[in-house]
Amino acid sequence: MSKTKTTSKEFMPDEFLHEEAIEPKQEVEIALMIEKQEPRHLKLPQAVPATEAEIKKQWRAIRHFFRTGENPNPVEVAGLKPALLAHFLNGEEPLTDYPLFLSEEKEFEHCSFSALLKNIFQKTFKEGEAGILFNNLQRIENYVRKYVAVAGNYCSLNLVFEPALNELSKIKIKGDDRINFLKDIEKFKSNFPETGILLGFSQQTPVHILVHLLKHQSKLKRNNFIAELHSVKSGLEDLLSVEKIKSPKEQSSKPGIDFAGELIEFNTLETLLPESASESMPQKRFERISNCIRVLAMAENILQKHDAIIYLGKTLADNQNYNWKELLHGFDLRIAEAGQSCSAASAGFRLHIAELSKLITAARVARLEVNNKYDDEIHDDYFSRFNWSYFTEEETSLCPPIVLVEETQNLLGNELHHFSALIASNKPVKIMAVNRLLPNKINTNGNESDDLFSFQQELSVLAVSQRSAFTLQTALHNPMHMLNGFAAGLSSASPALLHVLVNSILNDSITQNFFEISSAVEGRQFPLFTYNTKGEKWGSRFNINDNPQPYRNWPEYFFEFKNEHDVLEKSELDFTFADYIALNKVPYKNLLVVLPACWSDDLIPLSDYLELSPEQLYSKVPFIWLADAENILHKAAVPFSLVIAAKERLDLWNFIQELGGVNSFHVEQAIARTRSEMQEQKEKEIKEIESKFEKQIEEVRTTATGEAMNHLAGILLDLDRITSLPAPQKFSSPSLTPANKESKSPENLSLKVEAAEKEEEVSAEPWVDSVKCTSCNECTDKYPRAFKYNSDKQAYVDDPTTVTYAQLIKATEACPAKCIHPGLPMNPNEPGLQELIARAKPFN
Amino acid sequence: MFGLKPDLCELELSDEHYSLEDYEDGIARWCPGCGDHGILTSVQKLCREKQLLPEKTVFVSGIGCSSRFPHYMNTYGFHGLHGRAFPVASGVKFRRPDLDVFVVTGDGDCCSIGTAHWIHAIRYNMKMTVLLLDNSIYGLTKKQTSPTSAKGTKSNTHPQGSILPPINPIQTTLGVANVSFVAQTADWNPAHVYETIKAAYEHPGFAFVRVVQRCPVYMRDLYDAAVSDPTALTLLTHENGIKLHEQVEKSFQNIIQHDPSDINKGREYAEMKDSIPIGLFYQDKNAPRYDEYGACNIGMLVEERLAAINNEFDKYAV
Repeated sequence: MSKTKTTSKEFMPDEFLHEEAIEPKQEVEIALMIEKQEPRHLKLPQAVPATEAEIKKQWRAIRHFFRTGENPNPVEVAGLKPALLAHFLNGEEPLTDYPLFLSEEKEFEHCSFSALLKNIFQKTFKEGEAGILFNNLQRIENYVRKYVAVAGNYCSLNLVFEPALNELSKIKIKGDDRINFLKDIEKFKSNFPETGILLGFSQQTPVHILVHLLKHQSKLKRNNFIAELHSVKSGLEDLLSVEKIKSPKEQSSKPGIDFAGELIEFNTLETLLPESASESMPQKRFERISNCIRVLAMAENILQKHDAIIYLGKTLADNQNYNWKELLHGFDLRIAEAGQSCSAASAGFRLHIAELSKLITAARVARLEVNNKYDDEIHDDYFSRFNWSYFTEEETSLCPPIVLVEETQNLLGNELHHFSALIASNKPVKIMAVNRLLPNKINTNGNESDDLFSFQQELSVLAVSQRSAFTLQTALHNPMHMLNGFAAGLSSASPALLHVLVNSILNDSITQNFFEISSAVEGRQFPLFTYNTKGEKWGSRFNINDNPQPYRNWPEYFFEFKNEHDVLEKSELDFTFADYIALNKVPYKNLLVVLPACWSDDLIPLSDYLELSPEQLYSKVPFIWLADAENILHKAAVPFSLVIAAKERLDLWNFIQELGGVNSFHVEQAIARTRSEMQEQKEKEIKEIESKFEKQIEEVRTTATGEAMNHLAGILLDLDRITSLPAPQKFSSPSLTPANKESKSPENLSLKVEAAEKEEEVSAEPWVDSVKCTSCNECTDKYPRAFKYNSDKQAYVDDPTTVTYAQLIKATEACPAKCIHPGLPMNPNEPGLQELIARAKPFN
Repeated sequence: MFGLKPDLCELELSDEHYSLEDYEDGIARWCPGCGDHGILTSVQKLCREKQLLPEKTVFVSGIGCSSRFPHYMNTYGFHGLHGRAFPVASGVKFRRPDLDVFVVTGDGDCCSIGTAHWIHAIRYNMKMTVLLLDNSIYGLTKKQTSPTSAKGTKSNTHPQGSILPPINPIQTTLGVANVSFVAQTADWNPAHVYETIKAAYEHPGFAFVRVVQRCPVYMRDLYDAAVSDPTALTLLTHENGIKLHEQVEKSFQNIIQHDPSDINKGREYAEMKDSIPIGLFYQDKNAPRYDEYGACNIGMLVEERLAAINNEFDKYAV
């Protein structure tokens, strides 16, 4: 191309330039208005022409980067992020399942606040009612979300709900709609819970959930248990008081029988009675019962002193982001020294359980004693060995739990041995592991490293391998998964690991914080799963359904962009582990943005690259799509080290998938085997049928040839052809009898319906079939007091006394939609009624 | 997706809730009993349901009884030249894709003087909702034959009865390249009118709805029998068609399953003689739209535009 250019600007008429120059403000305003409705599309970059030498040089750099991950001249591109997240990260705060509502009342369940709004709306109104309120539920949610964020992501429902409804009532609505709207708000309010907690997205949220569940989950059960223990205890006390009455001291002190003493000789009477009737309780039993009563008297103290005993790891205790004293107020909080949290919790459990064990033993003995079923021979042995491992699930769930809150990094580091022992011991200790995705020390020989493999933090998988612990791997962005998992884990009788992913550092943008977590789950860095020991078989214990698209390797999403010719293109895009890294690390340092001039078939998407065979990989370089601050798309080459890390994450995900029953090797083999067996069977049957029919065809052929020859011979011999032909019986169909026809014909059915309709009584009151009204103003203009429009601008009869029957018939006949039904005359003295009734007949 | 709620679009909420009367303007001066009243109500109900911002909604019309429509809507309106509703509406949509554009036209305005614009507007497939209020007569000028008057219709221009067969607006629309939405409804079935207009509004392109309607003054008897005869209408229904409430659907005696992606079947049903077919004849949500092309440079600054023009001119530099 020639470099000597005469630019077109020189040819531009001045008027044109001037005309354009006065417009921009208005144009930009319009553009901004449109922009607000529809976000700007992602765009492919305009390719800047490059020479072949330049392209070769760039490709050398790309391949070098792929092999080594080294990029000597990184070009900083502002605002680079995974293309799939571009719209969200550039826009406003997205809608999530936060705020979360934690119920304190029995009638309401924990759920997201938006679900609470919808549930209560459905409970309060029938379908089609309170439409304006329904359309504005989102407004309540928006208000509450902002309020909860300002209140530090934790507040009471009653603090925020009233102002939210006040705010809602400020919407400008005119006329009757406004009155009805305010009534609907009042009705809605009356069905709302009076108490409850609202939680926003924050690092403390998992702790708040834990605290709430510990305080409320078993409280009712525990109170019932205490009440039961009280009643058993009084039963035992009755036993002892009867025993006291039997004793000689007691007998002699009874004044009531003194008068009888003169008449009856008790000592003589005692020798006559059977021995058992007055036998004293053996001393051993007496002591056992007394002991039980003493222990049961402490039940309240043991069970209600604390809702839980919480051991807190030192590093977390020192973390300034958490105000532990406030968060864990009312619990028995014990700070565990670094490296000793698991052993401290284990020791604490032994101490705590000894007390509980005594109580449970006393409760069981007491029940037996009250029912007079305690058998020394059997039960003495049993209770001498009784400890926490004999507890039923119900009993375990009644005990205030021992909870350990610790960092994942520590549990995987120095604590690993103790952690493993604690889980294997089957002690029902609940461990909440807080994972902030800090570098793992295990794989780097104790030295902190920023290596991509430091993300291997499979604490939950290790716990699952012990088989006996309830295991939850969850993340902060999915509050319902976290909440349900916590509730199941805390109520389980087995040990529980509640492994939760939170942000390492919170920055100002809630959106950024949110996507940091959600992208870890989407990029298969931190898959969600639940292993619940309650299931009968493995398949029913392991659940991976809360992961995004659990049946795929990487989740795939709809993707829309404008190509270089400004034409909208639609496609699908996978979100991979490399996308996760691009979001959470500096993308231009870890990836290499490829110039559009160098885009070629050798650049292939990472998700496709990972599925190629080694032979197909030759000369290929994987890439992911990134978008910059201007929404321009870029292909970013992925280094080999990141490919390996992504492969490793995919292997882990495939492993978890198989555990969850997805793409199971055994299932696939069984399907293939069954399919081939069925195929074989089918082929065999086909062959059998074929051979059978071949025989039949051969027989028919022989007979038919014989018959044809006979006919031919008959015709040739001039015989009566018709008499010799067989009667055509095969195709004759059974005809319907007249009776059948009569009973089933549609005419008859419709006659019956009509007859039934005629039997229906004619309404005496005039009425309008409003649904059919075409709002033509005919009746409302002529008789505005008798006919009015409803909120859908369709007519109804308001006051029929304001018109005569004659006027009513006139309106009925004029109605183009024929939807007025005049009913019967209200005034029997109106003149000409006979004629009017006859005119009204077709419309009633 | 990424832990987000699917109804992201609900983020933007207006501080005002619009009721039916917010969309009403003045008293409609159509004759009592005219079908236009019912269609006006249906459109106002749609605006209320979708909470369309009055300042972001435009009604464009030509000339005729039906073309008085914009006067009765409390939104922006353009009561244009005879037969020129489509070019005005196309111009509005081309430069202001953020506005909701409705075109209300009649059988004279659309099928006679405005036919050329009609054909091209179909082909442009810009996102707008078009309502052809077809009463088969020129009512505003007091009874002259219109292009959709049935053969034999006696009018002031044809006292002995019209001599040519009428244009079938559905068939004509289906015959134009790049057609994307064609539906028909009848004004005496308000529930169907409403659902049809709603489906048209939701269609991403040029949605053409013919409303078969009565003129209570000049064509009094044309559909009089049909109003009380449940067999006069044949409902075209399908899972991808116009969704009706179960009770409304039950009130029809003639129901045909018609897949709106089948244009040939749609053409066949458009020719139905013994009953009036109502429902969705054809829909293609992926037909190319000219307004998307038109909107591509919106938001560019003057400097950017000049740079783009210069860039184009530079290609011819020597």
